[in-house]
Amino acid sequence: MSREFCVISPDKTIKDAITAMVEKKTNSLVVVNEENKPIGILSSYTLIKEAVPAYLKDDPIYSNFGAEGTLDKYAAKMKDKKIEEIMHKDFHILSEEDAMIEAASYAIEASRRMLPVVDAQGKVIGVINRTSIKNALYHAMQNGEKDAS
Amino acid sequence: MHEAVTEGYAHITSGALIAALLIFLASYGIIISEKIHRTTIAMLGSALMVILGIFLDFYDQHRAIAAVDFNTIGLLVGMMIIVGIAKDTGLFQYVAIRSAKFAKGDPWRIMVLFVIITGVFSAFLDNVTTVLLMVPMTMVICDNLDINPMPFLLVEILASNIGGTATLIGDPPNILIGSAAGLSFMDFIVNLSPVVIVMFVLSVPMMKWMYKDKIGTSKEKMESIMRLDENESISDPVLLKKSLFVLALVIVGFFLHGWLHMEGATIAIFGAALLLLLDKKNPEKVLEGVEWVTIFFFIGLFIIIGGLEHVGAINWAAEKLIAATGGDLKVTALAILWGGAFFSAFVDNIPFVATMIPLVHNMGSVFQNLDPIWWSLALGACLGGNGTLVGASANLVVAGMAEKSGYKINFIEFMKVGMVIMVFTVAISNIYLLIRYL
Repeated sequence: MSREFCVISPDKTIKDAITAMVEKKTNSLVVVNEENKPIGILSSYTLIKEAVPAYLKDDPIYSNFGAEGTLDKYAAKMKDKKIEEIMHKDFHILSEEDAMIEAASYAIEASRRMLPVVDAQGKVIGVINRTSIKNALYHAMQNGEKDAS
Repeated sequence: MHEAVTEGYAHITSGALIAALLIFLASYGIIISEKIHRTTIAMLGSALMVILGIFLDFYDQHRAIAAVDFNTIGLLVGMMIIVGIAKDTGLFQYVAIRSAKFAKGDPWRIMVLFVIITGVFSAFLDNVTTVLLMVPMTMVICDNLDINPMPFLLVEILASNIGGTATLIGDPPNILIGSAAGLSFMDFIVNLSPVVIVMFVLSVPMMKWMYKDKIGTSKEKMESIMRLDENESISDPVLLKKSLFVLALVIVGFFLHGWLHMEGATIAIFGAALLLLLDKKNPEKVLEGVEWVTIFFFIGLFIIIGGLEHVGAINWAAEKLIAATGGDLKVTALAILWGGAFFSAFVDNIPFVATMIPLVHNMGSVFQNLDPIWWSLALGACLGGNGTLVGASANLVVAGMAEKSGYKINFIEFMKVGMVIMVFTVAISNIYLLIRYL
């Protein structure tokens, strides 16, 4: 589990979220309510998806002919949207006692790159992201080899 | 081909008649209200029709199966498979970019060419696929020109519905009519394409008057179109060649199907199977792309209407309609043309046409030649789709894509343009029918 994570409140805008991500050098934010309980996940993937207009989503081939400034135009359109409108509300919450395989199984579902970990009161105390799972895999393999030798 | 029900109605009780009518009216009412998905209602209505038909002795499962027009079903499924594979080849985007460059980036000339492309593709593929491919291309071109895409989207909707009217496979009402009336692809080409071409020729000046001033751009923007490379759109040249080969074969097959004594479904399914074989694609993936929701809607409708036929309601309605029009062919045909157009503008034209087909068949006892009525029905139902935003599925698809991209097509705003074009094109049809058939 990583204790380095960023939280944001749902009434902030997409611009606030992007700013936080760039400043904190992270790709995901945990959206929390006043009690610090997780109510959503916001990833850079979701933000990019929001920026790409609907007519390019089905088949990106059209963007080969895209005009200069199209991304800027849609960035301007979405910047004041509230986070709660676009965040992932359907996400899995882990507790500290949960096994790593649970984290790994949920993390492979598309666009769910991060799983919040909560304490007994349901407050966020950390996150499991892909780096955490990758590190766990690394340790598992190292230990496996040690046991074998 | 559709077989008219010839049995007598002596054994039908008034209870059976009321029950069948109630199922029909309730199903159509809910379909029109759009409160529950139309396919769910069609399936439920058809099952109830069979169950009550067995209890009240007017309908059963064998007759229900016989009521399904498998030629229509096969033609729709076959074309959906072919188009589903061919649409990913980039052909469409290639044609669009080539034409935008041919127009030297001039917005008005691009609009005219896009209207023609949409019309032609809608005639030979289906309208929804055509606009699904056309809308993103239009948005991209308009972004490059830095102009509002809205006028383009509106004229493309209009063009897809007019173009779809031209052929047997252009619009589902035509598939239904062609199959039930035994009219061939060539019959549609000979009888409907000429008037559709006239409609396009006369609509373009109207579009110019409405939109030309709204789509001005600068020289530099026009030059940016000339820098686009259409070859970038061809993602899979081998598949493109295979798809073009099969599409060409199928269209030639359609032109000859009357002469070959083959129904449209045979040709479409053959083409679909051949393309699946050539492409070596996983058929499971391709078949998932078939709009089964639409197919089951058709099957449900056929069974509901079959029940109405067997209970004698269609026969009764046909007699009433003929009585109302005084048994006059001209009045009947024009009533179906205009009535069909206004009806189809507000509600789904598929259930309307599916119900009208057995009704028109019943008129065979009064009129020697039913062809003028079939053409009136096809023209009214297809062109009516332009009347409002809900008139045809292509309209809703464009509106949905536009709205998600930040351009809302307003119901009333669309109707102001759509109704004018609808009345205009139906009036042209009216004159055409009078001169040629009535």
